Amino acid sequence: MDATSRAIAAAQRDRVRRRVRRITAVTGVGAALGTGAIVVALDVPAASSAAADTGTTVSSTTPTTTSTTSTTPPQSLTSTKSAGHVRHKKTTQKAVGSSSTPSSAGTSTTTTVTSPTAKPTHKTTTSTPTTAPAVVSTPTPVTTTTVTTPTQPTYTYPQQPTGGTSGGS
Amino acid sequence: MTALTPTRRDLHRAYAAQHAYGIADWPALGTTAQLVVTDASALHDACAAVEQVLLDIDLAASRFRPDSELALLNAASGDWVPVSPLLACALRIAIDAADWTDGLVDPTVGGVLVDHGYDRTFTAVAPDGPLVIGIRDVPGRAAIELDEDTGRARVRDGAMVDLGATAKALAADLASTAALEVAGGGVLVSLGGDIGVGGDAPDGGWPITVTDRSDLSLPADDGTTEYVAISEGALATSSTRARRWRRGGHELHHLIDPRSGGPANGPWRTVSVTAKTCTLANTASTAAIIAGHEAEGWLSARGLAARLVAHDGAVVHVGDWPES
Repeated sequence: MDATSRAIAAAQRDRVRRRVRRITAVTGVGAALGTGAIVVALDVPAASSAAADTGTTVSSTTPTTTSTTSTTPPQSLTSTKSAGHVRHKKTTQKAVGSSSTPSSAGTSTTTTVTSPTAKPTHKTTTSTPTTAPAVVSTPTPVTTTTVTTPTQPTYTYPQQPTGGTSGGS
Repeated sequence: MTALTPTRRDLHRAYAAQHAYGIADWPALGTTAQLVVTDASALHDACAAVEQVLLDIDLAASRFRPDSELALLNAASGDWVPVSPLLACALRIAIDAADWTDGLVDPTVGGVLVDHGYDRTFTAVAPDGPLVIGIRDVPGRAAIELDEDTGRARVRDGAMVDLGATAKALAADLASTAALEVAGGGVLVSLGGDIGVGGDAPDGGWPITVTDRSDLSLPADDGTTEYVAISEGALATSSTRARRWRRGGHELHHLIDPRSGGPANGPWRTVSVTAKTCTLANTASTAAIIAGHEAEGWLSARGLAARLVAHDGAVVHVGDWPES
């Protein structure tokens, strides 16, 4: 292993250690590490002395090192990892066309948002005159451009939109 | 105008658009990772931070990639193997989970899952096959020895560790922490339906769809959904409706009851739990599915808030479950 590889490996180890410290701080499992205490990431009492989960979250301040620069927010992002580096392949979609905020009154709300996927298509047609002019000259191509905007589908939501789905996976 | 049925992905993107939040989702760990940040300008960096966590977890704790630390540990025939701090943490949590649940959530069900046919990443598992004959016993968490002082572990020869449940939840906890460090503001990370939130939640909390399956390509409302809001901590769901396959005409699923070696067959098809962390919430939701008729009492005794869905769709709430 050359010096560069050793440096990368050392950096990787350090980063993992920092992350483990963070999660142990967040979950409380740190107290369990090495002690054999039966708490799973949890400051949760044993069954016999149960108390409500008050939901206190401990945050960490240990910094994370990332080398990615941001331009426009991606709608989807895939990554591949090679030789200790992460390469991100970003796929950007057009922004949502429009949205309306649902009413807060009543128990049933409906939100309509136009599709973010519709994108105008540009069709370019180039033609050259087929009849030779009387005076010899260089023919000028005639270019016409047709812009077609596809139909915007409409989504009707049964409830106010949500930020995430919790289900089995 | 063409009327369409929106998917959950559409629903979440609409939510983000309404509030000018950043949102992204992508395949990860055999499921889907989703990230929402209140500061849209930080989305790309936050995605990178989350992705790095997922790569680290995959390399440490995947049962399916031959170069993972866990695969090497499982293949070591009982010998001691050096483990990274991350795998050591994942093993510790899995052992603690087994202890805390009195063995209901057992990390040594890997061999049984293989016997049932779940021997590769789920999308590659044959959906049907011949009858399974001969299921090995679940050795129990005592088959794992972890020496955190020297950074090594060993698994009893013949046993196989599967960290599927707890490691995914750990990844969600790590990822939400990493995203918050990068993005600030408020963040929501979902990893296959294990949701962790951090930072400043939106007014009224993060609205969440709770349902049987977390697949974002499914219709937004499939008739099994409930809508809740959480402002901190985590919400995790375990369901027998996810990861199903057939062998010999029998329906199987991935939630193994270590007492029988078969898929859990209690009265609940889906259990969701809110807690401080995804690690805890997922451990509890999985334990509740396996606990069967004892689930309500088991959850109540531990002060947890939960939503249990019976096979006929009847819903029972336990503890301080968030309001719809």
